[in-house]
Amino acid sequence: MKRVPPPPFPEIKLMTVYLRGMAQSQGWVRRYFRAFCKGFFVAVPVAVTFLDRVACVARVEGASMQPSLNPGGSQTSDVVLLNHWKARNFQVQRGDIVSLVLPWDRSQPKPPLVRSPRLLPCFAPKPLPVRSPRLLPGFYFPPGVAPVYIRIQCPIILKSPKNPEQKIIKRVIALEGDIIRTIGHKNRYVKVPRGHIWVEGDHHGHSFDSNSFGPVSLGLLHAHATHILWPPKRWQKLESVLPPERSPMQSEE
Amino acid sequence: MLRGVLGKTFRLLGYTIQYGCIAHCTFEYIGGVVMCSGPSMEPTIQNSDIVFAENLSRHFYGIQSDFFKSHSYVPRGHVWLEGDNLQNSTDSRYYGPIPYGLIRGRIFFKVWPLSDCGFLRSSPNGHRFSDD
Repeated sequence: MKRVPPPPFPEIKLMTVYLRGMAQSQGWVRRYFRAFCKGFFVAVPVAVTFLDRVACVARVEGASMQPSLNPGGSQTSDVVLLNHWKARNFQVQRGDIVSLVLPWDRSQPKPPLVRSPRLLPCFAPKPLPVRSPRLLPGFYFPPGVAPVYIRIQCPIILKSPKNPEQKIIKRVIALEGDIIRTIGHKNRYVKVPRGHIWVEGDHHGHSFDSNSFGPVSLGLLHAHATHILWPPKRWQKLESVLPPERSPMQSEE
Repeated sequence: MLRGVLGKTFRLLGYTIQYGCIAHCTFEYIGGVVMCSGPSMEPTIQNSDIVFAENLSRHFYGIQSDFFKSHSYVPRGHVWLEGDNLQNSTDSRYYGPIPYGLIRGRIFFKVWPLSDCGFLRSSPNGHRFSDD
């Protein structure tokens, strides 16, 4: 039997044992890292695509849709299911509750009035100082179901140009071609132009809606709000009901 | 034999879904590659050029002013778009100002044809507008 010569010093023996252990554990770490990356690149894009294209969940804030949504005021906010799939062809009916990208954000500082003496359309690409965009409420599971607050958007990498803007939930009151009597708009009667819709909150007077910013382009349609998911005692399917006093005076149908 | 084919089909489907989702995330959150057609942006972009588009950042947002008379001012939250080839372009002069939320991205780099690739030149019609 061949005898292996002992290492010259006991410290070197300890060192070889240590290095062998390290190599084995590093191999284990590398395998784990590879598995993690594979899972990450499968799960995250699929989940993000699902939440962008099929359905997602959002919490409703504010009182503009009382009594349909948030009847309890600030104590409990409703969580609704937003169905992107239903809105993929931009088909809406009068009375649907939809979410939209806000045409403009009233919390932004008002830009200075830009005027052209030649009455040409003004296009002044001067970058103005802007406050950092408000993060969306995001999606999160009700307390007790999952203790983790999951915010889908990472502000550095995944900032979608559409998503950082505010979304609003309102009811569709009129479609293109309808003539509608407004509440608090600068014109008493408005004909909704082609490719636009007129949305209003159910709580008239406490709602930032088409009575403030006019008809909304259909391209800003984000999703249909179809169900209330939380709190459990308010589980229901949201009905698409047009209040009879808000029906259009004349419609093109 | 059937199980082999079925297994392969499912695996292909799985890969398609995975890469489709990765493509969606890339186009939605980072930017995309666009092939252009039409004469409305000549001479800056010719027909069948390929360009990179990046998604717009929010600082572009607050430049519009209040709506006053028809088309002397661009309404709040809207942009005025025009093609470089003014004689042959259907743009905001036809359909009016566009809400900012409808803009999908900003084209910043031309990739093809290689003889003309690079960052895009500024508008040849920029002298028409004034902000005094």
